[in-house]
Amino acid sequence: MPSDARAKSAASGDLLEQVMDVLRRYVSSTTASSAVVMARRRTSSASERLDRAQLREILPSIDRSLRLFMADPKRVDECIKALEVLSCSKAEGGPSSTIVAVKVEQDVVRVRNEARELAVALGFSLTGRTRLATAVSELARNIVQYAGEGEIELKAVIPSGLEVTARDRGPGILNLDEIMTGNYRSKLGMGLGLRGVKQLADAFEVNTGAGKGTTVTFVLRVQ
Amino acid sequence: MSYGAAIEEGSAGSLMVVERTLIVQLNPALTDSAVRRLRDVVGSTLEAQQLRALVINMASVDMMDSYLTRCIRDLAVSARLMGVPTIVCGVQPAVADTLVEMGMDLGDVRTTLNLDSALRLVKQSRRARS
Ligand SMILES: Nc1ncnc2c1ncn2[C@@H]1O[C@H](COP(=O)(O)OP(=O)(O)OP(=O)(O)O)[C@@H](O)[C@H]1O
Ligand SMILES: [Mg+2]
Repeated sequence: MPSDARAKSAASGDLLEQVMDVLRRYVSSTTASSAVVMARRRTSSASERLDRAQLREILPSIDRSLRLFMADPKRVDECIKALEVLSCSKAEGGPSSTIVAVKVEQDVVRVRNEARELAVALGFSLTGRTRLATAVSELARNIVQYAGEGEIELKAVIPSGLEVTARDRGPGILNLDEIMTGNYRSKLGMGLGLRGVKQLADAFEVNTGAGKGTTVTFVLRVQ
Repeated sequence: MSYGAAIEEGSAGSLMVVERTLIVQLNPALTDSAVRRLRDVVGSTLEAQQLRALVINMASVDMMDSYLTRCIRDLAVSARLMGVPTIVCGVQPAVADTLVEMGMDLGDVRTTLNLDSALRLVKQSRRARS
């Protein structure tokens, strides 16, 4: 491949390269490429580019190869899940997303576990996963405590990170400035949730107002 | 090391008393009400038994958000008011990192790396007192 073409495919997030990046986290480069080459030979997906449908088709074969090379079946599952995330992205190059309804306490645990799993799939470190789960937990709890119900959307921004959006149609936050500057004493809590999420996040935005509910969005890059 | 018999099992964790030290092992994936139940059980155990120390082991807890952090801190403060010193042990590095990054901490609660060092500390301060 000429070098300018290589640069272009990296910039557009070439799927084959992304698949190789994931695999190399689990096996050697050589093993990774032979697993892919073998899988593609077995199916008919031999063209230069790999698309998401083809990736889905070759996943079972990659799974079988990985099991030959990796001792820990849990790690194989984790790797396959990461590849599934890549293959499920809605549009070519577009993000894949999950929406979790949040209403009761158990949903708080559910959504942060969901976030954690997605973070594993995207290659977040343990610290990154913990930060993500904590931030998601804060927003989910706020929904349960103050809005009654809402939802949290987890969107993989491949390959760079994860975008989390917490939405509700609750009463809105009327004193957001006060809260974000830390001059606020909460009745229920420490008043640290939203500010904490902002400090953990690489990007953070709140959209709220009386009668229009609350939407909090944050992005965490793979770390 | 023998930890004696478990007194109470709950979905938030387990409690046991060893040499008049109440050891609380928290489970991962805690819901808020599980934490509240645990807090109540710990409170009444502190009241019912003549305890020397409370040790809260966080080793299996994979994240501490503002709610859980506050609960642990409150528990330590009320134990101290009842004359029982508290040690929190085993906070995972990634959990500690996140707490710091969010601007939260456990106040002036004693902390140690793991359960063994917490129990050693309890023994030492008992010897120092007698
Ligand atoms: N989704 C929401 N809808 C309505 N009000 C909210 C929402 N989220 C937060 N708030 C308001 O903003 C305040 C600050 O929220 P934040 O999460 O920062 O702290 P807290 O929930 O009060 O305490 P902590 O999170 O430390 O336990 C809350 O006390 C609440 O009044
Ligand atoms: Mg909160």
